[in-house]
Amino acid sequence: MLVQDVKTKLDEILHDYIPSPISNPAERALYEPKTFYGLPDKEANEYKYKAIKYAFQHHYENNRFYREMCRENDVSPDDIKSIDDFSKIPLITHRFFKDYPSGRDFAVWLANLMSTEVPKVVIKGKNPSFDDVIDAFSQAGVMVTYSSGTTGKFTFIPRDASTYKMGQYAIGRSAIEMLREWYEPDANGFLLFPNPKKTNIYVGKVTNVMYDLVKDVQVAIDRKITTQILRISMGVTFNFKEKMMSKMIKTASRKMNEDMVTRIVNWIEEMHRRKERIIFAGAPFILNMALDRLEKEGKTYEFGERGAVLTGGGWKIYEDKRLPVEVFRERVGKILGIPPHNCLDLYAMVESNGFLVHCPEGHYFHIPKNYFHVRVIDDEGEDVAYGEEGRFAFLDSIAMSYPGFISTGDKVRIHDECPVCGREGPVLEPEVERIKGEEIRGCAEEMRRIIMEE
Amino acid sequence: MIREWREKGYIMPAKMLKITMGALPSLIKVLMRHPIYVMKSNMAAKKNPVKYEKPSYDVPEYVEGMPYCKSNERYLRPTHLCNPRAKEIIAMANYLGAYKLPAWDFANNVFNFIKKNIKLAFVGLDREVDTLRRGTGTCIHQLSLFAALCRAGGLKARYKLYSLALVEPLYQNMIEVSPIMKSWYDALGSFMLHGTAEVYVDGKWVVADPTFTPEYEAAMGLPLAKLGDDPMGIWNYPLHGTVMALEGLPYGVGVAWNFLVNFIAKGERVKIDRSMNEARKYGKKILHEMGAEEYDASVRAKYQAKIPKITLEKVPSIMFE
Repeated sequence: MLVQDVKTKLDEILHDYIPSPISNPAERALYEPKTFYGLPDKEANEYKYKAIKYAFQHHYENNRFYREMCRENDVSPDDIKSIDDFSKIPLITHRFFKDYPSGRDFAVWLANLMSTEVPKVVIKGKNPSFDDVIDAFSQAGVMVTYSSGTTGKFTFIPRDASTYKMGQYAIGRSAIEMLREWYEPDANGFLLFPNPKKTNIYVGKVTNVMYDLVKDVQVAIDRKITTQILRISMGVTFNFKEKMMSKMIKTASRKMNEDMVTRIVNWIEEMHRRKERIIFAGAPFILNMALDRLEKEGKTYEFGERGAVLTGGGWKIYEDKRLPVEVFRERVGKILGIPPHNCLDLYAMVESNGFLVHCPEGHYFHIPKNYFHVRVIDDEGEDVAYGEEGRFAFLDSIAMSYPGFISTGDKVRIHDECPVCGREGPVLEPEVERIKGEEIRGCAEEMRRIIMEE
Repeated sequence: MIREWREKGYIMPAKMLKITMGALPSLIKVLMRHPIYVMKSNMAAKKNPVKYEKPSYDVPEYVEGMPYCKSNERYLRPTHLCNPRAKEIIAMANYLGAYKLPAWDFANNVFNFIKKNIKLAFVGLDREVDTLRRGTGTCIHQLSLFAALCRAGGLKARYKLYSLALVEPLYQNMIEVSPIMKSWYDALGSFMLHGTAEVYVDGKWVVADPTFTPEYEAAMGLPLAKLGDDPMGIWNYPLHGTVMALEGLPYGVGVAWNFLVNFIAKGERVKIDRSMNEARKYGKKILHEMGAEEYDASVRAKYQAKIPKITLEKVPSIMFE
């Protein structure tokens, strides 16, 4: 499929995710371009400049705490006259979104964080839990998405309907553009994440779009996952009842994991027999568990170009073992017969709506440069030179419900262009690490702790 | 008696027990996986021990009749490893202005004395007077000394302890230099126990974090902490649900720690202490070149912008039933 055909096809399939009419520069930057990764720099920069300036103005005008931050830094929207001025836009540290109160104040904190109108939210009870508040916001149309590090501290991001839809459209376009040679809507998907309809963990939530992209979707973790369950899975328990729950979860895990792997293996078997087109999307360690089983049983398959794998969320497979990406691709090739150019990784996080995807040719992370601006900064907050390592930071123009100008805890290396594929624009090296001293995080690690019995 | 013990914190609170019990298995696992490395590291430390400088101050002589607080009220009385009635403590408290200066000024003198003179070192837990004589100690030693001096001068003082995640430069300087410590920290995602003190001045509890000398803070790019500055969100991130305010330290609190740093992993302790010594030398150079005030002002400006605070405003559309 040609790259421009991806947009035509997906706009037809994902029409419910596209507003009518497209009314502002951020929406234009997301929905208009024919490609996310292949636009000439000039055209991409034009979209991006207008979109990010619009988003900055929006948050400056509608978000009190971000406006105060801008005033402290003596910056206003009038100071942003070109892309070169993006470095003036104040970045919020990712830790800010972990600094939340509990009970009723949590609801007020979320509302104060939002740059869009807060709908009527009714909170019941004197001391509501995080899950109570999240459910109440959800009923009012605001998705409180979250992620957790190993310390049990959450990152909470409120997404209104528009931001959530744009995020889903973005991940769909990003993934399919890089997998366009493989893609057909009659494909079957296996989501190696929790069921998007049963959790607000962001990685689960945003992959909800998969149900519209392919004809049938199976999920690896088909149970409700709340903040409480996630925290307990991280080993953080507050009372006897939770300790017991933790023990029960761990005890049940072995059997559930075996069942999960059996389901995956049976699905592979059936899809192969029916010569179906398939994709695995999600945490690599789950697919790795299935590959272990297949290897043990001496089974191999030849999906070839009919198969694709889109991983995300980190490469830790055991407490002290990381799976090298190349080794994983080799295994996928050897056991499932899926070629390396159909086995890609996706880099994203709960705070952003930008999805950086490996190019099939070189497996470098490409930036959707039409609406998402990446900065790689040093300890002083200055941009590092190309070829250097630094902290990953971004300006996200489609985050409308919260200011998406954020510096993260990830260490990346940036290059001015992909050394392999020839697409214009900067790329990140294929693997991302956490900065030393930052707690381990990543959706795959969350999943690993939820389902592993270790 | 049990009530008093509980008040004084002599009985280990459930939270602390949980933290300790949670942290020990991963430490034991790390140590058991690398016995030869640990042995070699200990032997190297024996051959080439770390040199701690002598304290840059003299402990004043105790003179009979020096005033000190004799109250048995909570937060004023002696607790485990924090004896405000020890002669050297009374003498030092008097030297720092107890009963002569206003409460804030006295507390500030105590804070600055510890911050500038008691160097962070991973030594075994012992009494407040040992810390005063030696001039080195962990954060817990420093807190005990701070509390003892404040209490001797008639100011209530207590401990605030928690598990924490460190910012990057501290991780590199203190954790990464020791593979054992690194594996332990990485397995937990945090450091087991740290604390700040709190002193009761002018009707409120004021935070005191004298952990780092100014030289060390400069080397790590941190603001120079003042009395009242909370390190949370500056150089550490406490773990949710681990913060506890205590009058005193529980009995048995240092047993595992002392065994670790004095025997099992002495070599690793030496590596960390040596790394901190080197950092202090580097920081000294920075402060000498820039001047402490200028350095502090420039770093503080950066830190202020990093974590914006939300002052929660009532939102009419959020309704509570």
